Amino acid sequence: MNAHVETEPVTAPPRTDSSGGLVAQGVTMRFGGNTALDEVGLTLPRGEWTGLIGPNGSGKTTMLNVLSGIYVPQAGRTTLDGVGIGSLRPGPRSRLGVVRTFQHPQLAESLTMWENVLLGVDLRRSRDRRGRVASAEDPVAVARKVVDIFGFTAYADHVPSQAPYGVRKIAEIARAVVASPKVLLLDEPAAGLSREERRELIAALAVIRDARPDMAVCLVEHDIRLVASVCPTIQVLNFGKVLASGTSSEVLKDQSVIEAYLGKSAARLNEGTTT
Amino acid sequence: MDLFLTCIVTGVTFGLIYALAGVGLVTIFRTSGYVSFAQGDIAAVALYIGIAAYTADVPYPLMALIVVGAAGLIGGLIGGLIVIPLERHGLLTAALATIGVGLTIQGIENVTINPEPRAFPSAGSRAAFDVGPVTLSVADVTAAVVCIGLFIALALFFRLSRTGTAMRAANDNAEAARHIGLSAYRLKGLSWVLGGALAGVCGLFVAPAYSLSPTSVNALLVFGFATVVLGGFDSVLGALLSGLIIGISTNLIAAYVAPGAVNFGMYVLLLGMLLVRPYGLLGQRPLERV
Repeated sequence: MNAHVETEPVTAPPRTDSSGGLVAQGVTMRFGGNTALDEVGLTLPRGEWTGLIGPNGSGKTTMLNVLSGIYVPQAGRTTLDGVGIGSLRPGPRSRLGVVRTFQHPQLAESLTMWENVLLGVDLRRSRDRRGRVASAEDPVAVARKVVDIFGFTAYADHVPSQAPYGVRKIAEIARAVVASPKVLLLDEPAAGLSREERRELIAALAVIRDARPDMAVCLVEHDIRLVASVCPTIQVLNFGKVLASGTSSEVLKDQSVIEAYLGKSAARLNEGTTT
Repeated sequence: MDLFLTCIVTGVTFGLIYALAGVGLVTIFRTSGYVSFAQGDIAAVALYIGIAAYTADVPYPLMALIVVGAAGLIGGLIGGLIVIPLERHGLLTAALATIGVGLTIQGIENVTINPEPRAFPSAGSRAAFDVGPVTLSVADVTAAVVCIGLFIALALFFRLSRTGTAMRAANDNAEAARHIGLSAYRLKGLSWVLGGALAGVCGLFVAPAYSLSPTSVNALLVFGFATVVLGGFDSVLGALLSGLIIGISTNLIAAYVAPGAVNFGMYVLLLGMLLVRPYGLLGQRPLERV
């Protein structure tokens, strides 16, 4: 984990629409006596990339599971563009435009990488049909472009087991992106990637951000440098509670955040070396 | 030599039907990960409906369509209302439920209709043409053409159509399928409709030979099952290959060894395959499910 926060945080672009997006309020999730999330709120406005960070076990992935409908929290409210979606399971939620990826890529193993990506196109088409939207762009052509940007054209006709781990991870993200979701939830996209793959991932995410300016994105990630480079706003969880929330430069300077990551004494030490 | 050729030609015609029975099982396995043991009984109900229509002077082609449609509908109802909902208790439970459904259907048939075997009409017993020493009837040729046509259609469906791809994905990785918006229930239900309809088609071809009773078409299941074990549970092409192998080899055994040795020979073939390649000739992966 990289706690020396030596990043150049990007500046926040103007919000395109502050009313839409995915909003979770007062989410409490208990497993037996263990409270994984304690009244956590998270706002993912349309057009904004939000990083969700925190030490191990702080509840990041639990929150993502709540947002994507895998877990039903004991308390809390989740809305998409103002409409309650808390009772929806993952399938219906994805058909409304909330699409996620997993820390360990979930691909259909007997389908080629390209066929896997096309599943995202299917989802988009079914959404377009439902909303009676005729998309200006050909989704298959978009998918081809995405595969190209993400750089796994060479593996397009291979089944996932023949592709390197990094390629599988990137293919899963590509599949989610071509579904053209309203809200994209990325669970540790960089985990398990090589340095080189990480760089490619960041470049690809930047292209996606520019191509889909009204998509809300939540990035759960251990690599704080990566988060800071693509997410203008960051929320920090610690022990299932919101520790800090704001622009990435503010949050990463926050003393309590540094303490949560390094422990109190190490944080003091860290301060000593940097000042 | 004539005997040998006869064995081959009739073996191919039978083998295609076995293969089609196998493909009905493959279709359901592809989306659900288990085999339906109710295929023969679904076909039987549809065939009884067909024979009722036929005695009411419905012409054969229309009767055949009724049988296939009814079998698809019954398959869809059994899958959609009973078996798929039971999957939440585990795939083994669902697979066993198909046996229960089959036995229940047989029981209902036994008490509601006359279970004595009845003659079932064929597509036509007239000679169509000769292949070497064998004279093929219109029914034989119809069966072969329909089977081959269905094989091509199904292979293309699974390979090229979006629904076919989604069906493969749903079984492969249910988690991924859910999160990318695929409705597993709908895809599985569709596979039950398809599987049922295929059982109906097979029933039309075997019932004239076996006659129709509540249990007679269950021979379908035995050969279909043998076919998928040999060919691989998830492979359409594997079912075609192994159907032909079983059709031809059982004929050869009957002719050159002893008619009574057919089943023995088939089981030896199956056990041998399970020992050498447990997931069949063209199966994709080791069987880890039911």
